[in-house]
Amino acid sequence: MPHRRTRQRALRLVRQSSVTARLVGVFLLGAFLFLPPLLRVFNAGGFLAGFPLLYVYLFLAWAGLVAVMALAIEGDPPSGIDG
Amino acid sequence: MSGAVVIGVAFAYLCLLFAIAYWGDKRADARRSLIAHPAIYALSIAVYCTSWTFYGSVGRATQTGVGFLPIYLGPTLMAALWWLVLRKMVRISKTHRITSIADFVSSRYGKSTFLSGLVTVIAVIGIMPYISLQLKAVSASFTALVEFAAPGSTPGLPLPGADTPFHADTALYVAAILAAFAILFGTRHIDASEHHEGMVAAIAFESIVKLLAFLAVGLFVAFGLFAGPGDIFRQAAERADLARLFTMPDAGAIGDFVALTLLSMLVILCLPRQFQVSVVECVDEVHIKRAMWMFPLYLLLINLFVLPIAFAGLLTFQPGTVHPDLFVLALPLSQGHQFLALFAFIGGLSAATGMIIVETVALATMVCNDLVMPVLLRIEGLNLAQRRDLSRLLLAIRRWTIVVVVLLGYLYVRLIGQSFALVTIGLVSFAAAAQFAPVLLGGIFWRGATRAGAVAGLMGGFGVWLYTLLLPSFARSGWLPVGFVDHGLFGFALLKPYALFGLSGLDPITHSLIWSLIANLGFYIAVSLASGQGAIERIQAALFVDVFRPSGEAGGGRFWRGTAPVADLQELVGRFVGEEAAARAFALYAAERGLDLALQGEADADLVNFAERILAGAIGAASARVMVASVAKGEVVGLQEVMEILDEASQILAYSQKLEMKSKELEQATAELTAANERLKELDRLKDDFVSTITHELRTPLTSIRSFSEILHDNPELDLGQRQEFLRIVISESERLTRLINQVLDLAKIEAGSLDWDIRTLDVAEAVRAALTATQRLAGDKGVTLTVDLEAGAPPVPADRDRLIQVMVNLLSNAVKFAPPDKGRIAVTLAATPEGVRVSVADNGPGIPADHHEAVFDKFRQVGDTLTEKPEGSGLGLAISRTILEHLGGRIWVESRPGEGATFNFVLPRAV
Repeated sequence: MPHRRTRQRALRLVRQSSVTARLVGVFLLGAFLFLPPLLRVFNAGGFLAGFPLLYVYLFLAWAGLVAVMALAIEGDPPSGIDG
Repeated sequence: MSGAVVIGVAFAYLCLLFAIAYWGDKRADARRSLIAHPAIYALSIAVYCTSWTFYGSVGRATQTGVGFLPIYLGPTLMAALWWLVLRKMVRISKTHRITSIADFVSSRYGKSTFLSGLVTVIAVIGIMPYISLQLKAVSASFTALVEFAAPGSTPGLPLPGADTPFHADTALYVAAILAAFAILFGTRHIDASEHHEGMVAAIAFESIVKLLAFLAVGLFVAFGLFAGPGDIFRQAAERADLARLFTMPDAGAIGDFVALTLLSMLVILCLPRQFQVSVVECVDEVHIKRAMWMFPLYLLLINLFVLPIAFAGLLTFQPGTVHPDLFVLALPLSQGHQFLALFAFIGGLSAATGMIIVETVALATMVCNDLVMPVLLRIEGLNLAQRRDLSRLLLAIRRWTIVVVVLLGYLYVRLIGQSFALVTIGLVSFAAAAQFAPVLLGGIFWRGATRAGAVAGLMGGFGVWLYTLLLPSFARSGWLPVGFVDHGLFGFALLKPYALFGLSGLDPITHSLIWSLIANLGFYIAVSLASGQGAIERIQAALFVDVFRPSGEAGGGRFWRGTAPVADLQELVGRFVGEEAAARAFALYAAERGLDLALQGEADADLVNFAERILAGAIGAASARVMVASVAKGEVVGLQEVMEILDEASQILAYSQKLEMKSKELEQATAELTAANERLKELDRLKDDFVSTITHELRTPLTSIRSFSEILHDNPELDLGQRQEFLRIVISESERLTRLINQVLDLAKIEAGSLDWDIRTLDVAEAVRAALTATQRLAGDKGVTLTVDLEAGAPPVPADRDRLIQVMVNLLSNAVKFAPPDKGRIAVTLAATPEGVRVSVADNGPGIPADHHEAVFDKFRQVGDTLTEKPEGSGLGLAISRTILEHLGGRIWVESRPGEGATFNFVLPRAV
């Protein structure tokens, strides 16, 4: 029995660290989206579907980031207090 | 709209909030928490959105386009790291009963009173502009709503200036009312755990209200006033002065964008009120997970209509007639939608109220626990530590703090705030709060950060902030000579506050942020590296950094050795949190551990630490330390002692290892001794056998000699023939006796190793022939035929010739002895083998049973039926032969089957 318990814990640790890794990934993605290189690209002016391109980009990137974040967190099935 | 209606609705709304808070507190007391839900947690964190967001974002957008966004993108980014950072802060705070950010910082750096005071002072001064912003927003929106509400008219909305008399200044009344509510919300009683569940419930509610209000205005503007947001942007695109806002103008704007994103990333953790709601008030760290995406979603929603409203306002109003900060209110008003405007006003009021309540409560806790109490406790004359009930004093300090903090905010708005937009005022506070980030984040991830480093970093960062942001704002409002802003301090151009060391072309906020963070981080790291940690500091650092290690949770710090009377401790705690609460806490502690405190008398170190933690919840870690020290007899464990304990432990470990080794050695020695003892016993038995056997062997010929000698002596008349016969027997027995004694002596000598060996390389065949010559007569006498086959060319081997002959004689005489008389045949062969030289002596005697093949070589062992026939010889011959051969490096064995004769073989090895 102790053997199985250790294995369960090991599994949980693996999964937990992968959540952390995913979230760090989300952070890096966000930093990439909102830093000058991309920001400059979309700062060129112009319109998309009648809206200023920069506005559309920032809000869509933002919404996308929130969605990815929600996926990264909620995609991980909650398991008791640890979830 | 009449002022009375507006005031009435505002009051009603505030009372509703209070009712929710009251209900939340009741539910908390009944242990049915209202706020134990991740959505509530996320909404409470949304206290981040103040009237800055509600009114100021639109104003900012009219100047910089997307320039308002970084304030929300930063927290979105940081939210992704909350599981790493915020969860750790929450865990630490729960473990150490942290009550505020000052408490957190001071706890981490060795429970330093000075550091907690420093953080508190920075927080109060830094947050002052932020509070003033809320007051300004509420009073301006109130004035707008009351005074410029005629349908169809264009509201002018001039903001009340410094020339307004105090009694006519709306902001003063707003300040008074909000302060009163903050006192009601946050300081009705002292909670040992410093949780304000009711307040959090109310904040969550107001977060919903302000979001709905803003969305309502946004929808109205976009779809009621215009034909959708697309329409707004299309119209704006036709005006060059508005179309320029669609992009960021230059690299500088992008730089500001990045800097503000970084700034807001830091402040979402460091603002005292954010720390309050997201760390101190967090009921379950699992809630962080969901809040990580719910809170950014909230930010996204509340910002969705900022740009449409901003452009709609710019399109609707003539430039200069309406302050852009009030577009949210002015747009519905201008269309005569008074109720929508009222809803918007409530939304803005909601945002401001939420901020002021949480912020002032957080600051009040800090000022009380980390600034005033430590000072009061140290003033001996007050004898505060001896006072019966201190909880009233604590409450009074906190209430007065709220009043003073709000008043400071009011003074700031009246003296300085008029000349700045909402967001600009708020950003000044942001830059101040960001100064906590290095000590906070460094504190939970870097074990080596020291108290001196934290103090230096905070002072450096705060000093730069003061010089580059706060003082210039005083100067520009005319309260300080403006010369040092324009020309630098003492005329040094390098010291210009907005272009320090020649760094120009940046927004003042970005500029200040860069320099203050450089100073902060630089001093923090450099001084930390250069200074050392005290004992408590080192322990606290480990507890904070390793909070997720199992030992970190349970520990709580074993700073106290020694004890204190239980009654004294309980009384001490009771004085701060109330006697009943203290009794409950102690009873719970005892119940959890199955102790009876009444019997215990003296509290152990664990209980002392427990008491300190409860006290820390009420008055902060630093003060709790001082208080407990006043009753606990033990001293703080010194670093030296910690080291000694560690040392002792390692010594004990070494000792036990040594002991284990010794005991193993002992076991081994015992085993060896036992074996040796067995061997000795065996030898002793052999010796006894030997002695008894040899005595017996000696006695036989002696008896016979003695008998015949007596016969000869007693019968002188015996004839000559008989005399001769008897004398021959005596002589023969004597010879046998001599031979026996010689052999025993030989054996003893060989076994003792004292025999002289004359070893040289020799021809074995020659020695065999010599032995054959010596025994030929013996064989002839018995009528035994000898056949000899000695291989020529056998290699010479090292041996002692005499001993070798002795062995051969032994074997030959044995063979003769057992060969049947007259028909006996003995074959002697010598052959070269790979091993060396082999000699065999075969007879056709009775043979030896297989189970005696070894035994024949034992001393005195004579195989055969000793009853029927008496074998001749001593029984030592084969034993001696084997001993000799073993000494020469060879071996001897017998091959035989009963009835078929026996062949004795021996091998002598070649010379190496």
